[in-house]
Amino acid sequence: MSSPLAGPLTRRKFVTSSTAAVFASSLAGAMPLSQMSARNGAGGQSRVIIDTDPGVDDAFALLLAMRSPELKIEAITPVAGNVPLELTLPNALRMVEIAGRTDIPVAAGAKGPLVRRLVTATYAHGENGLGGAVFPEPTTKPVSAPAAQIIREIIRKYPGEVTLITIGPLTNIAAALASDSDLAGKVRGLVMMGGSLSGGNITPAAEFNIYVDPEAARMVFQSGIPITMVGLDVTRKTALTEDHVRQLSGGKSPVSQAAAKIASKAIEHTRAQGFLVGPNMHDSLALAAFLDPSILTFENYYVDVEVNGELTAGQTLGYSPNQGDLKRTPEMQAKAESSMVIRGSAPTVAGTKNSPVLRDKYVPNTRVALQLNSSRFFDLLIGRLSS
Amino acid sequence: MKPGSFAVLLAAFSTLISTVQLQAQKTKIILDQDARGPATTDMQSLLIFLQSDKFDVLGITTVSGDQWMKEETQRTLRLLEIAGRTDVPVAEGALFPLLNSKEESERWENLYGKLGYKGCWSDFSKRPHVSEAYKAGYHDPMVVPPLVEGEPHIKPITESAAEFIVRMVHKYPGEVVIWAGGPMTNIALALRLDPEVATLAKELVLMGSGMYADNGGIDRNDGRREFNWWFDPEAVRISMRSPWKKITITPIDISVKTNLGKEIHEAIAKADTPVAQYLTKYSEPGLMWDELSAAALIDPSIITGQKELYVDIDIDHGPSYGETLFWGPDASVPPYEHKAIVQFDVDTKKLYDLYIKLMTQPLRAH
Repeated sequence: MSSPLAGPLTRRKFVTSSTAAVFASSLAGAMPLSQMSARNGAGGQSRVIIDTDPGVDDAFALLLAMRSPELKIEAITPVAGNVPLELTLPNALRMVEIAGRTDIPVAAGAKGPLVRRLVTATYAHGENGLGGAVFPEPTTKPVSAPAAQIIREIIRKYPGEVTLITIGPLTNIAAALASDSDLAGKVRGLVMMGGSLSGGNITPAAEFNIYVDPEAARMVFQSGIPITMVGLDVTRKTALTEDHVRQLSGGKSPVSQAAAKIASKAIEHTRAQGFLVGPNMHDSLALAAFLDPSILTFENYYVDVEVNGELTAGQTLGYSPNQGDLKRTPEMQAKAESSMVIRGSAPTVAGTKNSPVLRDKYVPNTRVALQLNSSRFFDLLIGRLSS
Repeated sequence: MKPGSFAVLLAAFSTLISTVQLQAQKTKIILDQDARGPATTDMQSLLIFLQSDKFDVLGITTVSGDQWMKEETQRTLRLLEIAGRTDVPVAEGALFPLLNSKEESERWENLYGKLGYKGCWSDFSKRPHVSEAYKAGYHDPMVVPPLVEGEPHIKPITESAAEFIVRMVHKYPGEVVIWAGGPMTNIALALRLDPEVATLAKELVLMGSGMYADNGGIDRNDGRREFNWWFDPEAVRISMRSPWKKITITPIDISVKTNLGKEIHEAIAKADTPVAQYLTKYSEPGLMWDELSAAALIDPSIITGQKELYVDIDIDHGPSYGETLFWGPDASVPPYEHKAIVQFDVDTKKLYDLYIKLMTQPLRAH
């Protein structure tokens, strides 16, 4: 038996190496972790697919995206999450209509997680997913193909160009990646709102988007796609205020007016629960991280997802060779990075020859956002929505 | 119009009708297979479908299991050339199970004990007797070693397996039988692409799972750990909890009652068709896991005993990851569990006779 640390390619190593080959040979393929952002100016627009479960903060993120000239939004793919698909799909269509962007294809995604039963967050997003803000029934129809198929087709059409921006559970993305083994190597990058390295929200361990479909999240983290994770570590610091609503109300455009309407309802909903500020604009921050990464600071981690814990399923674990303030010499730091192993739980049975504890070697797969300049984020968000 | 020409027209018309009727009676089927080759149970079962006139094979979808999907696809394309059935489209499916992995299976073995068979994750090349299908040993997922049976000239279609399944059940609502001879990754993905797949299909027929058997599983003493299901437990969970109109299961309990032995090989060796030659060159003795599942679709009387059971799978990543779960038909189970027809007893003579007949008959024109 070969040690899991040596020998043949693991799934993640396989995709990472094939991605590197594509990158070297044709300049297509995924971007290095450090360079993932919208291509401003010379490179033209960035092709993105937004996978979403609107959702109050999703609605904001969608409106922000559609007001961002840097983005060429190839598709919006709603998924079940904050509320069921029966609501996230029309909510996404409503946002497209409000922004006057019915040219963007909207494709219906998964009705539920891969293997678990759907848990929603109506407590945070209201029964209709928009904090109770009511908009007319959309007249725009979704495209007929399922989301995972549309995602696959677009990535194959523009190899190395498409960034996936995911602000809901990762079911659609996991289904697309699993159905086509060549796909991950053709994705430029993935920016997600999801996860946390500092405790969860729906459980002490798990952030909601990962908690809903941990199996899908693990498939995405192990896919080899370079990931930017915008998790609770930073999205906890994005509380919407009455002041923001006033600025949005002052804006003339339908987008600004719709945002103000959702914001005031959502604030009402949050105040009714006794919160003095909020709700947090989790998903818009993922968009902002792509549009202007300089509002955040990042650190590289190997991230995996707990899929089995009785209390902890959906927890994102960030492995790093760094030891906080204990800096190493450059040589020892390089050695620590190249020799670090990823450990799992201690064995429960004795007498095993090879250690089942060691799972993998450390290779960073995720750039995790750890600090945020909140005021610059809100300048971007409110500025673009109200202009 | 002369009376004679009317008769000719009538004759032509009735021929047309009977052709149409024949077409209508054929079972539209998608073959989802972990097609290790050459001439394994995987390939021999595909040949049963291709050689029988009872099926309209809509396509073959490949999935990693006994071998990695990329190699299987090439073997399948070559098989279609040999069988003269290049009209059948092949769609590439999942290269990896949803969550299970070679690395996880190795950690599991370190904790709970060695497994005897791990499909494309095994290396049998150093065993004393190794058949053609296992000589190459372990290789990485994208590697396709040289094919002893020859390299194919045809190519797979560009659609993914899951997309193909979704498209076909929509094209022929209520008509398509989905037959799964391998792990259920593609079927699970199709179900998650479009939840209507289960209700639009006519039936799901599969080889997998184990109930009471004390051999046939991938470790000696536990028949409930069956290879196809163990390879991708989460995909089985998705598939078995979906609302199919009907599920028929060929478990290892019945597979272990079959044997593809010397007499069958000798009977096939007498024919000189390309299919018979292929089998004579590469087929090895063994249990008829997938062949039985395929043959029972042609002649249901091959199955002499079956039970209705609730069937599911354990997906906890602990000692029983991938083990079959089952309950009797009167059990009080939650509403998400579904009943399946599970085959337990076989008329082996009928099975062997049908198999020999199909494998020695001339190639089917299409």
